[in-house]
Amino acid sequence: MSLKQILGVAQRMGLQLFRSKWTIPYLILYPLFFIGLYWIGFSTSPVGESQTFLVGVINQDLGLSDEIKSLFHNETIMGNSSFTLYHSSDVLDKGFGIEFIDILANLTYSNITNAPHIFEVTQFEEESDATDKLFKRDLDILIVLSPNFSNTTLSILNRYWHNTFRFYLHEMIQLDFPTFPDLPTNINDSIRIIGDESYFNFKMAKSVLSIVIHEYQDLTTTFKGPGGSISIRMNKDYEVSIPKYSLFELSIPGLIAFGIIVQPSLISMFFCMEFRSNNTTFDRIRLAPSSGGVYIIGSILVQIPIMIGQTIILFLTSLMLGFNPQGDILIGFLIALTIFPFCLFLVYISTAFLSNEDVVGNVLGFGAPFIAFMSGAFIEIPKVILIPGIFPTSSGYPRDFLLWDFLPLTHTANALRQVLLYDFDFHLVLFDIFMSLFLSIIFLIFSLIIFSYLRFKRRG
Amino acid sequence: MANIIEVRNLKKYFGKGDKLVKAVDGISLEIRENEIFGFLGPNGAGKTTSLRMIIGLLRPDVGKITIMGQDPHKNGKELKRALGIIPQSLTFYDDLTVEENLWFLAKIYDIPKNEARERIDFLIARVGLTEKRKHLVRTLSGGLQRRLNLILGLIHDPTIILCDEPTPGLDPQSRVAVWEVLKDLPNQGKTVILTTHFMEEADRLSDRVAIIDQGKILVLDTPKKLKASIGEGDLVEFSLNRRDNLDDLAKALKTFNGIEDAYVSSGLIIIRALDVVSRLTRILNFIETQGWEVENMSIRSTSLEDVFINLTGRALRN
Repeated sequence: MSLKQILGVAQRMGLQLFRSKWTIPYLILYPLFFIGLYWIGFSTSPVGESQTFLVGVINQDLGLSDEIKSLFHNETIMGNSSFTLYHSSDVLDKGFGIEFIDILANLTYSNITNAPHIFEVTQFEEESDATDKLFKRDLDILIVLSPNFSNTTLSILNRYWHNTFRFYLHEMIQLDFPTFPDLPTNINDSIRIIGDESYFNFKMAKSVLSIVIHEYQDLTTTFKGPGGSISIRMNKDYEVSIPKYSLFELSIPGLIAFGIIVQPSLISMFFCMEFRSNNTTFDRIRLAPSSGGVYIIGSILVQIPIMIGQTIILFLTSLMLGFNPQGDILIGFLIALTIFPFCLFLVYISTAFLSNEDVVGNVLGFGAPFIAFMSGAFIEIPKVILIPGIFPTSSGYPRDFLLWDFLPLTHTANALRQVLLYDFDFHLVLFDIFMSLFLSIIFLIFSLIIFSYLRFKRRG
Repeated sequence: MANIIEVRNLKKYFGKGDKLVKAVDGISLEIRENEIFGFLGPNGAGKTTSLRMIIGLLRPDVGKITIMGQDPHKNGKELKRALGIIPQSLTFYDDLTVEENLWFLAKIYDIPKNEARERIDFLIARVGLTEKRKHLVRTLSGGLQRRLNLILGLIHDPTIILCDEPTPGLDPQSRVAVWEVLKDLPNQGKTVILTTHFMEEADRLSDRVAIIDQGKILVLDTPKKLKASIGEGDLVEFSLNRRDNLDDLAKALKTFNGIEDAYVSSGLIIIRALDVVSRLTRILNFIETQGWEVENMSIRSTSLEDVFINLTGRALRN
């Protein structure tokens, strides 16, 4: 196998492809037509901003220690006009957990009038009751507030104004400021989030919740006011906004994923012409002293630029038609690349068995939308568990292996949606990116073995 | 001359039970260096199947093939450079130019650039395609496409050339051009295996011919010896106004003095005789007295077709 042989195959196929009257129109017009059609149909249908997530809460918060409570009940301190402590004495008695749940239940979307609540909160006593509902998808997400939630919150608060407060206590009212045990440094560490990692609503709810927790922590630790006065504010009317999308925009990640796996149909139709039963041109390649690897690598070299080109056009078309991604478009593009090996799989598996371009066109023409549908590229599909609890997650509840998880496009579409629509952190989509690439490569290797055997090794 | 290819008891069957087809049924032969070896037989006789097994595109059910002392099914890669194939079907990319097709194969065979350029120029000129070298193949006539098909098999300067029905449907000019190239190959140290069902092609080109029918070799020798094997004399063919009882007429003619053989083939009465012209008047009179009228008559030399008819009782084209 030499580079000259590989480039020879690539050059030949490239010349043929670009001399075909269908290639350029297909590459450019198809994405425009395909995404344009969605834009015409669904660009004026706003959805998404009114979704209410079903949140289960288990409040194990034991509240503040008695020492702290007594401090905040000290009339000398609380009667001092230079303090404005937001937390009511009731909250201080019962703990910050109750307050946090109350905040969650009252959060509304900021960008529409009469906005519905973001979270519909249900409290549970037993974790098993909540997880039953969670995994039946009667709940989107479950939050467990740990027994030291209040102390952690105050500890974090303490880190910011400890010195000021202690000085005041010592110098003004001759009291010792209590010392706190070694508590977590982040409020997240005292909140456990549980959910089904394969469920889109869970991921959405988790994303929104992470914003809320972050804001809660920030606001709790804010101190301001003249002359050493300290004001701790947690605004109960605090509003959170999630991006507002049209149905067209919500569909874009799935459409891009689908668009990418449709393009192998053209390549396959072109390739399979070499294997027509009455076409023995391919025998010349089989009889040449080059291995099947030369043909395969050469043909992949031709396909990669075409796939990249078409993916760029899919992204550009989406942007031109008004798609406004929240996340990094470049990361979205890199995620799209992870499905390329699966596209190559579609090319080689179809051309391994089929020798008629019309049949290939029909098979992939129906097959690609079917795969996209089963991958949830268009709509969320029902949960069919194959292997329960196989993937570990941070929540302690392992994720199930679902039927659709076999399809790399499931993961590509998920990752694209999370990054482009909701600006998820990279680590939140890492699992999907890995699965997309891993499964794609497995599929590709399988198809290459079959293709190589049927087209190069078998001799009748 | 040493043997370059040896085939022993080669068999290839397709189908099962009632549908079993014995495509090749126990062929054994030797092909010598620098000769043109012809496989002559009707369509479906097993010529192409034999050829495909010899070059390693088809695995035999039974039998042994040795090419240059090596098994093509075990040492395929080493032998690939030595084999050149000129298939029956047109095997090129019609959306590439003549030159692009040749360059593609030159790269696949890893031929150095300068050597490839010289080889491409030589081959294109050899078959008269110089003016068409930049043309897309789909725009060429059938004859020119067939010429390209020929030189594509020669691009890597192979030692053994397997040529499967190289001239079907060709105009006379292109056929002669193809024949000239093939005829010259042994002079360049090449061995050619030619399958054809054109007796003239096999006769003109082959040093030795194997006549094959129903998967078996019937005879194998030089065309001259094969023709001599069925007897001496020229042939005269009569096309008559009626085709009934022609066998009886042939039997009667066979008893004539000086007539070596008389038989019916494809509705014609065929007579082989020494000095046939001097006997024509008597033969014509006899035919007319028996109630037939001669519509057409031709005289020719013995051909390989006659050998085939002599062996199988039917014409090649049947």
